[in-house]
Amino acid sequence: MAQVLGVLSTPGGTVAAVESLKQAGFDNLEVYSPVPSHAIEHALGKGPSWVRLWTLIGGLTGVATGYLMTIWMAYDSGVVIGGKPFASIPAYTIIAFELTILFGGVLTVLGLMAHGLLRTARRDPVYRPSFSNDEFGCLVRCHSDQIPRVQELLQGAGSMEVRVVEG
Amino acid sequence: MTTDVVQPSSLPRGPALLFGVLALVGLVTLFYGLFADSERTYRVFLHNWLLWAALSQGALVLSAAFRLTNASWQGPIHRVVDSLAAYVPLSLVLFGVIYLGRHELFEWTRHPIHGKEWWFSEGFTFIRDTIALLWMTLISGFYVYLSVRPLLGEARENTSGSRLALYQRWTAGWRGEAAERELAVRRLRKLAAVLVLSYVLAYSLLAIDLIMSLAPHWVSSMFPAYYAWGGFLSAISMTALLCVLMRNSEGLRGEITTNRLHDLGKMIFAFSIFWMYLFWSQYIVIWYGNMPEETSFILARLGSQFLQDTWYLEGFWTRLAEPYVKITLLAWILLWVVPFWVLLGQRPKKTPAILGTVAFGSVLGFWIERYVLVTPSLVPPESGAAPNTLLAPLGGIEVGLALGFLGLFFLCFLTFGHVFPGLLPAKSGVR
Amino acid sequence: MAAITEPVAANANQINQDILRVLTPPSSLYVISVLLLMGVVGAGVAALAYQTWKGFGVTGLNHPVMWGVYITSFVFWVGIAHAGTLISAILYLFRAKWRSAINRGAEAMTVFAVITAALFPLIHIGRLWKVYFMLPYPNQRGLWVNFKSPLIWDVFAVNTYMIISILFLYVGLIPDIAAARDKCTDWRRNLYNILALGWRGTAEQWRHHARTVLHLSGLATPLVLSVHSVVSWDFAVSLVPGWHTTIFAPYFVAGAIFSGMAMVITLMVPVRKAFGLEAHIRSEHFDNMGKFIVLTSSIVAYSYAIEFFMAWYSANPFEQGSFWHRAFGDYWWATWIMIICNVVIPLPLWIKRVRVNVVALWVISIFINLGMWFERFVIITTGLSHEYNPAAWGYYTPSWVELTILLASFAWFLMWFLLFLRIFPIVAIQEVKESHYETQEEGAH
Repeated sequence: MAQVLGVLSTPGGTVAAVESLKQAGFDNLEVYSPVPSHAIEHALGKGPSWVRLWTLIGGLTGVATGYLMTIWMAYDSGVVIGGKPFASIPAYTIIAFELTILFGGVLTVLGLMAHGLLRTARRDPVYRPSFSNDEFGCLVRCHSDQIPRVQELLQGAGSMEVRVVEG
Repeated sequence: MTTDVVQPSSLPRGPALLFGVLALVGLVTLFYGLFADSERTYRVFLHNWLLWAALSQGALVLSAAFRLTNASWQGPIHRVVDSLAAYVPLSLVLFGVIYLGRHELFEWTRHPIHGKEWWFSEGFTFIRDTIALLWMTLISGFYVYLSVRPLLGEARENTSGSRLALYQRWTAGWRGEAAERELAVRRLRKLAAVLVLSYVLAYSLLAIDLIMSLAPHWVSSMFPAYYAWGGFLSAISMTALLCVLMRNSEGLRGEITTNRLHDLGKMIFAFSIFWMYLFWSQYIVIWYGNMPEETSFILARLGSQFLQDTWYLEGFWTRLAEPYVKITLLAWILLWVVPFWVLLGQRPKKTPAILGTVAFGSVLGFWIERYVLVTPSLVPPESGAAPNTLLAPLGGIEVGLALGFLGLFFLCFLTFGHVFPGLLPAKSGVR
Repeated sequence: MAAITEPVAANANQINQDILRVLTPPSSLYVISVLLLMGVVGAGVAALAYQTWKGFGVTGLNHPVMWGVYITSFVFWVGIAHAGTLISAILYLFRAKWRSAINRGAEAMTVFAVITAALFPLIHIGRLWKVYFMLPYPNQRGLWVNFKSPLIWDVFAVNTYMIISILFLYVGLIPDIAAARDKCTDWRRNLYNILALGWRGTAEQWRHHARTVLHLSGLATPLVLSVHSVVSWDFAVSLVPGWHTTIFAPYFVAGAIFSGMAMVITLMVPVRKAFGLEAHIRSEHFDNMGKFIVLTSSIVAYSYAIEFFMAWYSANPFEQGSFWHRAFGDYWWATWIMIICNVVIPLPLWIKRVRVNVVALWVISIFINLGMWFERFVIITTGLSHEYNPAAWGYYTPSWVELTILLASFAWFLMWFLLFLRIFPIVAIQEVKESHYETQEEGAH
């Protein structure tokens, strides 16, 4: 498997490069970008992120914890306060609400780490510092005899630099 | 010359006939009801009036909000919104009926409330409310005039008759299309701020005078804002409903894009959550404080189940069968539970059938909610009721008057589109 | 537009440079300021130690006013925290692009304001070493915390808010930390290396990142409403005249956004000047912030009016007495400071020329900060000092201990803000660049 990297200067150019590569049948792409871009994401054609599932699980756990914890603890203490019933649902709704947000939020960030960060935290020979500044990278993984074709496509899309990287 | 302005069409015959008949039904019911059971008729009239007045005025507030936030996503939707305000002057006229029924409706006209004698006195109350409604009508008219004017320059070339006369009057001192548009944007933005402020103040006042005064010892500082917010939300729901229904009509074809439906869905979703928040903020304080002068209002509507010492599972169903409880819960379900859970995802917001159904449910929910705000104060549940009764019947007078208001409202809406052009600009149009 | 006369960043590289330049070694003025602030914080710590040693008698708190400067400051700082979430989350959901220039500063401010706020209940407890009593933990008494108490709601709300706002700030920072990492050469490189968590800006990472930001915004928006609502219920669910009123929750939330937005202006105007960020924080941003001030000031004014009206309308002599006392009683001066600062002084902001005048806006924002502190003081102190029984009415004067700690809280907040400024990018680089590319591409079409 060979890797070809094209360095581009704008999100628009990157989208064009991705589109032309996709059309030519190269699907194993990776894009480096200093900014988030819907257009690039759309061009790469990836589905929605799994992070949403983490939020859902966190939120449901939170709401269940909130109600169960408060009701159980009130019964366990067994002290009547302010003439209110042990299971004072309106009061506990507030706790349940806060825990929904808390668990949902924490699990969302854990989801980000699990899917987006920690899994990809190993050293990356392709990465260069300018990718966090003002340059975009379009990395194509392809069979080694297709290198010239990929290079040509990347050049055609206006890459400032195209080179084969060791991987 | 740009041709992005749709010429006013003739009244669509089918709907116009339907709504005309409905309005007539309402009128007949009103007269019949006044002779048969005037107290009940005025009560029903008041609750319908409260719904439609706040809805049509709330629509203009929505339009103003678009202007103030420079929102551009809505495209031609704000023309639909402006047209909903055509009913505004009628709410002033129909307020006269409430004045006629003041002795049947308001206990304080018969027995002055200690400590509030001058606030709730016939003269002062109805004069200030009339002034508030008159002021709202005037600035709403001016707002619509400014909003429509830039479109008339081109339209007057192709019109004749009385419409032409109107157009000419409204385009006096024409400065040319581009200049007019720019001027309109600038003036409307200023007027929009005034309109929103006036709405909040005027409808807070109406909420105090026409709803809170029905139970004159009950106090809640949230209630006026809650009612005004309801008007705004009902206008959004109505807008979404109309956009869905009219998405294939002549002027809107191709304009109600998936993105716009999505944005409308998001608005209903977010603002119904906010409605729930206001409702909850009022409820939790009253629930916790548990003082009779505050809980009486909740007790009459939600029954004893949801008060402080009764959140128990035993007897749940018996308490649920208390008068008005189920219908109150139905309003709550239509106004928050359904919009929240159905519109949570992205796809339902973009599906016209689902969005339209939720929006319809929300408008219906507001009709029920207004019923619940008014009726239990006038026909209180403590007069010993069998389970699951409404106490106040839902019969011919209720249905007839509701249909009458509905017909009248949409007659105004259709007439507006008939008289003025640009209700539906064919391209992205007026910014 | 006024923005045209101001410098606009030419390209992404320059944006990167401009914003990261703030991180270069500090001037002596900066070091002196930080040291000075640390000194004031030290004085506050000393006052707290004194209070803890001698007991709560060294404060002015006594019957009937048992909640004073500490609780006032708690509510004030929680309120300040709100603008951050508003700007980050709500404006993100509404796709308001102008937020990008100020959202980082506001998010950082949120975190430090919540941390400052969270100190005050601890200070107010008196017996600091019993702090853990607030959490539900198994104990020999067989008792759990009372979840029906609004104060426990507060524990959950404020802690949730603190954690979520830290996460929100951090998630937004990750790509910018990576940008700083790639330019940094000194000791901070290791710090950035760890904190960037291997960020390389791949499309895969951005995809999860965008989802995370979206969901955190969706969660933080109701959270921000709930936090100050819960704070308001600390008062509203009691039966104290002047406290027990249903509008408190939205009224407090509007006030919180109002004061928070004012604090953002108070902080960002000097930062913009000191670090030459004029190209990135422009007058259109101030214009929009000014509009927010106008909106929230109107809501606050409406709430003041409706509160007074409903007190009269209730025909309840205690309620009426409390509000008469508020406006014309012992604390009339505090009430009128509040009304003038929050309602009257912001009025010129209805005019655009004033909104884009940075100096005028800045001065007004300082008055609002003052006014909003007094608003909480008025609510808390006048309510308690004038309850049902005339024999139990009283007057509260804060002692030097309380005032020292109050002053120290400002120093503490500013100190963290200044330290943050030099370690992390104070403007969201990725977002400014994103807008830059978007305008560029729009121009190309």
